[in-house]
Amino acid sequence: MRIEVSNLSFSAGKKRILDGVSAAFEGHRIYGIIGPNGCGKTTLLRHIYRQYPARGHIRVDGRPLETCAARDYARRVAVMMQSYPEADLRVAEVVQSGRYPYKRVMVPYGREDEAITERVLRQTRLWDLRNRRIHTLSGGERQRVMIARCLVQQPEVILLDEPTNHLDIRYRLELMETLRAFDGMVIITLHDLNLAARYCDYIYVMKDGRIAASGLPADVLRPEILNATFDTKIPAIDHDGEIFIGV
Amino acid sequence: MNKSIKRWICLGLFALLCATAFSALFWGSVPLDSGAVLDSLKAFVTGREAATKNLYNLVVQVRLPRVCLTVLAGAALSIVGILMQTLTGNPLAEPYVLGVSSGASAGAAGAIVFQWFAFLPAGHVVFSAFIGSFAAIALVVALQGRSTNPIRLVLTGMGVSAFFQAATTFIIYCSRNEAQARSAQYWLTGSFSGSNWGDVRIALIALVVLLILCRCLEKELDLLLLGQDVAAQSGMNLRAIQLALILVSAFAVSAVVAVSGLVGFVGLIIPHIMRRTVDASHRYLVLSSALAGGCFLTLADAVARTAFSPQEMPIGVMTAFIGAPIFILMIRRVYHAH
Repeated sequence: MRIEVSNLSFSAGKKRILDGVSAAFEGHRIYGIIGPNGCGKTTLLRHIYRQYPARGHIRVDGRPLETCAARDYARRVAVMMQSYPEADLRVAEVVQSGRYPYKRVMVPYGREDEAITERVLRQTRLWDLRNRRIHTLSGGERQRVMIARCLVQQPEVILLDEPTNHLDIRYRLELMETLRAFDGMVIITLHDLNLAARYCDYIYVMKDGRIAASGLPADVLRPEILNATFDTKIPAIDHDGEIFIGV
Repeated sequence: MNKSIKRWICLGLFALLCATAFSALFWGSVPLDSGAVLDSLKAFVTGREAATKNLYNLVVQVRLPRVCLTVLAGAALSIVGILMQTLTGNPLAEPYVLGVSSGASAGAAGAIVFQWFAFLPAGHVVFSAFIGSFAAIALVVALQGRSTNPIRLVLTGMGVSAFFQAATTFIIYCSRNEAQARSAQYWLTGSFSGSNWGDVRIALIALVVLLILCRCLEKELDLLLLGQDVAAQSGMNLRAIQLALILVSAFAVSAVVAVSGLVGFVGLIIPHIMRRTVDASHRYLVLSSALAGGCFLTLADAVARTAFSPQEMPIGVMTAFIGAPIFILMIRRVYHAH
């Protein structure tokens, strides 16, 4: 699957949030989008998952995004947002609802959906929690539920909006390992630059609604680029090809 | 909780409903012995002549339709309560949140005081209530426009509701005599007195339509619990589903309000209790709430008509008296947990 964003701009009131953004995503890679708060990362992602209209500036496999049926698009693209739902539903029910794009109206979830749900629940180590109500889970567990829901959707692309916020280091690494094992494309917005350095195959750096830099982590996560982007002095060490950022 | 337990709970609730409904036949200003009730019921089912005509009329033409109506109305109001809570994502939503009931009460008050639709051969109050509720819901849908924002929907409903409430009070204020005012007022707090088989038919249609809708949209309703954003990203046509839920709920509420007046609290508390005790996913939530709602309203009505017999209390007073303490207790518990 190839997603191509060309010259996308977006304003909320007088504030310009995206200013002529162009980017391309394709293949089985993990794409990271980094940048300071308010640089437009989330807004760019929202355009890709159709919360905001693309107005002809986004093409999917060459076709304008608007021409893709919502249900078909949902089969190909799964989204994990910043907030978790606060429902009384049980873990297995939430995960199974990821099968929704494959079902017609009035047809209930069937054997196949249950089988896929069970497989993913076991794979994400949620099987023992399957009958728990999700509002009783910890933040990290809820996160796992939502990533499991994405996997059950069997998409070609998973979009994640700052999924590692509020997670401790173990869950962060676990989540990134799950994404690395995922057989498809991942587009993820990240605040943690070390995670970006370690797991992303390609990085877009955003600032003030524009793409400030893009490229392989080793080419992009360099002091001069990061300092200009975040308006602060960030030490970065290149240790045998692996980059370490921060103090 | 696995499926078989949920099934057993629903079966238990069904048995409880049957028992409540049956025993409610004995309650009322005229005490009845079981022989007379059974004889009348047997006569009703088999179609043969009953031993005593008067008792037969009391049981079959007065109490039985009344009990059937409370069961159906309680079930329908509970289901609409669930739909409104799911649709708006707001735990405080109840069947009347979109202003349907205010529209209905304005219509009914108009029919009682100003003789609207008096040219109809029968049921002009019910008809006028229907027209009023549809005017209210049409206004809400028109004002909501293409938006799917649930907060906007609730606020629009509140605005429309306030307008029609004011209209109702105004109409009652304009009434020429005390009897009219009391008649309109009595209707506002709800009552099942004078229920007939025609009313039962209307409520039954409302309930069947609701059950069909819930069965068809089970997946969609569950998905809505995860939030509108998640639902939209899963490929759901939010606007169409929302419109279907609003229109069917409005129809059902106006049907129930038209035959029984405003019965509060059932649609608010029953879904909450069932969501906590049985399940949040809609298949068993709808089923258990319908059964429990029918049970609750039948019981409330039985108390309302016997507590101060031969005087009858408005049913709305009874449901609020029982419902409000339960509700307050529940809110305390939920917020204490957080």
